[in-house]
Amino acid sequence: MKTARTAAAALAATAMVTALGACGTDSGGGSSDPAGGPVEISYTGWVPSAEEVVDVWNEANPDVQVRYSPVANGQEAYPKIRSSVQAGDGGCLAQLTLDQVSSFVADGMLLDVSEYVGDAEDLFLDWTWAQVSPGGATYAIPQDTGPMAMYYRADLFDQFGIDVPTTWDEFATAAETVHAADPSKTLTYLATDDASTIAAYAWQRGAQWFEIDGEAWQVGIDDDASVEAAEYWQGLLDSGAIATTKRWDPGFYAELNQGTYLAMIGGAWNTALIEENVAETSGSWRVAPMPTVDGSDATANSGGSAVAVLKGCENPEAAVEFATWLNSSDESLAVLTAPDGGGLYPAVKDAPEVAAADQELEFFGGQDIAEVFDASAQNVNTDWAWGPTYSTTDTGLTDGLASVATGGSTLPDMLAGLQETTVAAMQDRGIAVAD
Amino acid sequence: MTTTAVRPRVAPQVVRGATRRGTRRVRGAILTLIAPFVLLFLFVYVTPIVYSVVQSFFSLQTSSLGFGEPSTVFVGLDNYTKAIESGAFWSALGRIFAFGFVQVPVMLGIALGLALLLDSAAARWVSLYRILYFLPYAIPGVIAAVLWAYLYSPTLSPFVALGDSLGADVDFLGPRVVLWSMANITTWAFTGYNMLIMLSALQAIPREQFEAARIDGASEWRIARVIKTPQIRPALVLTGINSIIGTIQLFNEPQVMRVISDAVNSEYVPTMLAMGAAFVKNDFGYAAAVSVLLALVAGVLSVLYYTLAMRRSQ
Repeated sequence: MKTARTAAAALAATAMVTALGACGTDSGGGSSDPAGGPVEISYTGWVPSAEEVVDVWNEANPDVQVRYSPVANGQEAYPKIRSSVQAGDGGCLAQLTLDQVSSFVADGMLLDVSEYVGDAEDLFLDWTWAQVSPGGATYAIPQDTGPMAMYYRADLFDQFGIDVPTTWDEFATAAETVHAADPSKTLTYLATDDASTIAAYAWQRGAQWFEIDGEAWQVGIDDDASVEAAEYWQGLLDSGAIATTKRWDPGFYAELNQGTYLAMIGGAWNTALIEENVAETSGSWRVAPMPTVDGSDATANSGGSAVAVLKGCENPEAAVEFATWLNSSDESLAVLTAPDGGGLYPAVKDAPEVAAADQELEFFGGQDIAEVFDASAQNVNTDWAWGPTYSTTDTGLTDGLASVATGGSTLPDMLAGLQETTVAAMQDRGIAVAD
Repeated sequence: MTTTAVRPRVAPQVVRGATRRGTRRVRGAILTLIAPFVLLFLFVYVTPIVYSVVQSFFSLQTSSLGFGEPSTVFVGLDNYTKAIESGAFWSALGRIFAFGFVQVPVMLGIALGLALLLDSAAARWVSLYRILYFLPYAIPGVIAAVLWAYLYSPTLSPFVALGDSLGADVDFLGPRVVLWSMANITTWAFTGYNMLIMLSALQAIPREQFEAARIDGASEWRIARVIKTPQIRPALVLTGINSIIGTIQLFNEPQVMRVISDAVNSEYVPTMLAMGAAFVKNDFGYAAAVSVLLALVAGVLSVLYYTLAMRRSQ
């Protein structure tokens, strides 16, 4: 019942994109009363339980009142944010996934808040700070990261007689075993509407999609590591050992509940989502490290967010103060990182201490899952950067994955095409790209 | 000769004096009456079009690494060239053409059939059926699409489950099928609406004609075919033009289906292409160019259809 309701909400919310231009947000840009009344900051995001944290802040800070408006997810929020910033009414703070920050900066949607951030830089992981400071100036406060791991159904692993794979080779063998035993089930899936996982698989193998080379960008979407990852997954798709699915389709959680997939590989933020949406299978889930390339410990990051300051925000200083508190204070993180709260893996440097609190969950049979994510977070390649037209690339990647799913392309070909269109999109804008 | 020559000379003077005062008054009244329309028309119709056209000549430019403040530069017809040279624009256009050629005649055919049935002498509970047929139109387009998405989704659809239990592989979302699944939603939503327009036109035809035809021995089918249908041609033309324009603006259905179908990409129809350009890629110039081209296509098609339909009626 709950699944159906959540699913309905997700679908309806996605559909609501249609209403984007028509309905202006009711969130005014932060405005202060000249008579000395409270400053008002609007904040848009989709972290579960964020409302609770905002209430805590508002209680303690009568002078800076935050108005929170929840949205379903980034796909729904971005067009809305872009159109309202364009219209000069974007509000103050908005959640952006880390991959979008560069694009929003390049499109002139964010405010340079370097002068207000103070020592905040020291609180957050260096690589997340680098991702919210494209070109050197800071535009957002990092919120969470998505160190990846493998969520799996221990009961089904037993049933199929497979051990937890630790390398991608073992993973492929296990996938073949499952598919041979029961063609209606697969070890995992490739989500055609989640571009971030394909990027992450390349990221794990040391790909470098965007790199600053002096005064120009070096684009490597089809570099060797990316093609390696693409060929690996294309091989599994071709043999039928894994299937494609739509991660944000309401049917996805129904599939998870039915045990169609034995495992899902994803960022830490999936914990709260699967706990909520596949409650019927509680107790049979476990978390293991994401498979790695033989001989390497490298993991990857999928997703993760920042709270960005939008152009037009009238009180950037107060906004930055709130965003920093939201993403780094113990009070706030206690709620945002709780598995039955926000379920985030925070972007702060002392994340292991913060996130470790009380994560022995019934849903995961009492396993201390934080350990797995901490280890993963330690092994994320931190040189990854997102390019200034990544919002375009991201859409192209999603379209490309859909085309792979319908047999119109293959993953390696799709990446080659994406390399071309990305370079073209950057050059179209007048952005320097190195050969 | 003289009398006729004098008369006009005198009469106009009188009339002219009267009309001049009258015209001024009438003109004032006309202006007052049409002002609200003209102002609104200018504000909500002409201004956005002009603005779009202007915007379509500009493009956003940055330099170096792309993180400086972007500037808007005049690029002439570049955005139009880009659209016309892009495969995505033409495939999107191709899809709505295929959709329109099949869906519009089917929908209007069903609507006409239902309208004729409800108008026939044998029909009972006409007002009940009128409301029932019209009901889907009262459901907002997005909600209707979401509703149907549940009936199409492979894991949630009762039809797919039924197919499975019978051993048939039912797929509403495949690359060759999904366009027609959307056509089905549109047909479901708009048939009743079009039927209503046709039915009111039918009911405005003087009943005596049918009686005369019946006395002459014409069957109900023959009356429907040769007496009723030709007389509601204006209603058919109107619903036709509405449907053509509606097809060109197709958006809700593909936007919702994209969530559940891999066969629908972000540039599936021209409206999605334009929206993505504006609100994902921040390329408002290109979005404007696509919109202007789309408006041109809609204009040309409507005029063409109208001329054809009206010429055949002469």
